[in-house]
Amino acid sequence: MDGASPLTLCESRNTPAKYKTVGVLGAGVMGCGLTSALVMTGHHAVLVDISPSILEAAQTEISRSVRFQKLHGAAPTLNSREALQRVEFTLKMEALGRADFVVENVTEDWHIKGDCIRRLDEIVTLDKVIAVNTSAISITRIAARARAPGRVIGLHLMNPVPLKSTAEVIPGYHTTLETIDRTLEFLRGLGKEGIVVKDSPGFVSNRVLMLAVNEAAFLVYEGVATAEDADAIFKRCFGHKMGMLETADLIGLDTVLRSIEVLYESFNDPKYRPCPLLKTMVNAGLLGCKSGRGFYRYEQS
Amino acid sequence: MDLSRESIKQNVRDFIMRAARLRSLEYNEEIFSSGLVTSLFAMQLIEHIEREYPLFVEGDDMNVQTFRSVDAISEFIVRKMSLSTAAPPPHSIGADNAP
Repeated sequence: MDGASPLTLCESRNTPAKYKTVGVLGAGVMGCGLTSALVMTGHHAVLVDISPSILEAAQTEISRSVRFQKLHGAAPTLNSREALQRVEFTLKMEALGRADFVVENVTEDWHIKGDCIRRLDEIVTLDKVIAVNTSAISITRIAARARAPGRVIGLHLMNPVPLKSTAEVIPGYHTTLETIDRTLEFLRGLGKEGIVVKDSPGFVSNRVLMLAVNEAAFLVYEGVATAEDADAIFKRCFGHKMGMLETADLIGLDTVLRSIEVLYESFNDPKYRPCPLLKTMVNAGLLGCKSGRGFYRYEQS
Repeated sequence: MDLSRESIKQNVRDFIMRAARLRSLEYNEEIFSSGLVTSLFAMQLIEHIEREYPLFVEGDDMNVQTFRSVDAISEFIVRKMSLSTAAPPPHSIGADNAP
């Protein structure tokens, strides 16, 4: 999510897609991004959420993402209308039973994710993989909710999903080699690679990134630097495409705070103590790009 | 609305400076190749242009080169407006003409 990789649309090198229909649970930022990436690479998707208004917003977001795909260097494979025709938008979780591969993208909350996995495990036949899209929660712990924990795996996709070439893949304690292979194959169908790392809170990416983002927030909180200057140092001194606080705004400050809290709870280490400024901003509804204001202000589209 | 070329330039420059948090921006400054903004910003920029002016960005124009500088963007807006004095194209979902 740090914008370090080139913003070039990922194109599938695996046509036709082996996993023709992919189930996506949760139509938030990541669910919409994944669904966009799926239809752009020849897949069909079943997108499930609990709210009609969220599904309606998802249609707009997926349409927008497909419309702008050419900006990122891809030869468009379909237009927005065709893209939407490849997605079944539904409130019924049972529809995921028709999918060849399922990715869960619900809120980064252990209780919500745990309940979702239990339900998915009942709906999705045992020969299918259930991937949990999370940036911090233990896969072993989540998989323990399933009858067959061997088919549950962590998949940390990066935002914006259609533009990011690589994802973190996290097997839990019981995840089988076949599940790992199938997940990597699924990623190749999306034009992406997976890097497999062990199950540990925050994995590699967020254990480092969230700590850095939290520390950057402390710098602003303590008045050491403005958000602009803190970010400018990383961009202009180190050549990063985005600063830590711009990245935080892109991820969503609520997600950032939740991720740091998960690290704090998991390791019981004070180095992960959330910055009070982050808590205040989240309580005040300053969530970053998605709310129009975080460390920066954004034009609302 | 003032649709003069100078006004368009100022509007576009103000938007880019505000949205990308720039302290200064020359009209001929390359915004993408210089790293001032990424191609993600182009989406915001196009949506802004479509809100502000009676035009629709179509498939062939959907290229960061079209929007490489304030000068280029303003030129594009003037050209599109001169072409689209007839019925405005649809802005609804699925209205883009790709591929």
